[in-house]
Amino acid sequence: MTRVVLLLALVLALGGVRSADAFCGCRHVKAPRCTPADAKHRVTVRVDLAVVDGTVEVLTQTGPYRMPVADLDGKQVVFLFLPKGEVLQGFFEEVVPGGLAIGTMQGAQFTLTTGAIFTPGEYELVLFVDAVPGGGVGPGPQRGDIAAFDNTICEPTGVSVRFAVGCEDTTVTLTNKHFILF
Amino acid sequence: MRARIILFVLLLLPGIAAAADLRYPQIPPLPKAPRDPDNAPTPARRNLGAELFFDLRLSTSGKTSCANCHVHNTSWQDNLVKPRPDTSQGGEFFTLAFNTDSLLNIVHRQFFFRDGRTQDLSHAFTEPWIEENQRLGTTRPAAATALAGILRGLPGYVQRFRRAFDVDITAIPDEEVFDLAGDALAVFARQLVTRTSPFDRWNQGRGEISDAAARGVELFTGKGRCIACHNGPNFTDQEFHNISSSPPDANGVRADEGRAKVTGLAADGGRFLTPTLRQVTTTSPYFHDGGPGTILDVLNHFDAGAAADPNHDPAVGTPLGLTPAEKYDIYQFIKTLRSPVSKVRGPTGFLCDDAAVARLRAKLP
Repeated sequence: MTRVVLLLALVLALGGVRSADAFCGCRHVKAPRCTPADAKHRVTVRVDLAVVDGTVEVLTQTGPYRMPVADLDGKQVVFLFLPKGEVLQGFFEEVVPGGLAIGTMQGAQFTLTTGAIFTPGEYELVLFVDAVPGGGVGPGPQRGDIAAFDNTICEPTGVSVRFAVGCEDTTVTLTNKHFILF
Repeated sequence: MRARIILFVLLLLPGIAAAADLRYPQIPPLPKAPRDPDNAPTPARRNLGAELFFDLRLSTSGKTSCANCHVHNTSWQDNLVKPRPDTSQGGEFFTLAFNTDSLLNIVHRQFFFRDGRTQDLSHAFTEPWIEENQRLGTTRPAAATALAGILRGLPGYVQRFRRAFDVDITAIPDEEVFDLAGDALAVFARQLVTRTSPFDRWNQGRGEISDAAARGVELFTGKGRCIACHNGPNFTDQEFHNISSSPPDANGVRADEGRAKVTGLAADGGRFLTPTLRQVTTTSPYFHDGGPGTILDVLNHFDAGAAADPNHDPAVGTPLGLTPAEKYDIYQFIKTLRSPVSKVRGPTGFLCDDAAVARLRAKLP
């Protein structure tokens, strides 16, 4: 009888701890084993926005918004890479070494390939288009700019697109569904 | 006898752990979420609250729910400078005047909204139906009539309110329906809490944080003076402070008067509620207006000590003299306040991902 009571108390104690720590867990993705293991790879970032009647459709919180391509053409694209789960909070020590670049939109398209800086694993891509003149790229996206995100994954950062690098070079393609109007 | 002693010790274990000395007792772990004795957290109320929270029909445009700005998988906020919740309200570039507040740990708060206009969580959840967020009416009675009308027109909701509150919403005044909807949303929101963070564990003498983070908490509680306002289990003193985030212009007018809008006192001009720092690395941008985009921007603001507002709080009104390395250390500490978020239940199960939210929306009344 005593043993039953003790067992019950133990189960209650452990069970209580477990339920208090319950959270929406993510399935851990194992980095692939590559040969050589420390080989680094390139990532090509492609922004490929579909154009309809001279506008591109991006998201707002309540639905789509049509942005004139003229508002994007020739504008600066800022992007950088962070380790999985990280958010850029002004500390560039966190950025993947060599993983920061600025390019220029060609109409509704943009392509740029990084150097070989990525070991296999998951990363965050932070990218925005400085669509509104005068704001500059320093302060990050401002009202009227468009920024990339992907909240459909498990534990998203809300401000980046997560992607995986395997044993070879990788391309990350961002389409209309990845962009929200700030 | 021996078994009784073991049993006694086993039952005492949680209490012993809680009472253990903390490295920084001024920022202890969060206690268990307090209960509201006037609004029992029954499953029926929680499920109704979840449905109301995600229901896009409860807005003028039919496209805006609480979840548009309080996004379920990004710390219950939207990461935008200012939300653009409802494009039907005045053009494509219409935005609200303030940065979306995270709903995490709202159960531990004494005031709601950055100006602290209410201390009643149920009341707080009905405000967006009056304001520009969902704008069912420009006055409380008008919004209540509109909401009650929508809900009464959906038999499933009539049934759910009966189950949750034992009332017939077709037979009670509009404002009572409005208040009950707020009660259901409050029960739902009381689930939104953060769990034990790496800092909490280390603070209790178990687990590790990096050396940089350990230096950071020392700076946080010392030279950085962050602790002056960000103290207590939720890293907020639950008070209002002026940090020159909305200084007066040449005519003495502030873009947002903050707490003074509630009290009418000039001394409260530009004061805002101290926000929590738990999970703060995921809730950029910052301040009431989303001005600073990053935590470094926030640290630089305080480090400068620029008291641009005559009401600026003297506790943080002078330069801190932080070096770049010290700011980085404080940031490393702040990162240790990130923790798993509680699993949130709705009528169709846990709301862990977009698919779960889609399932809930597909089964709305």
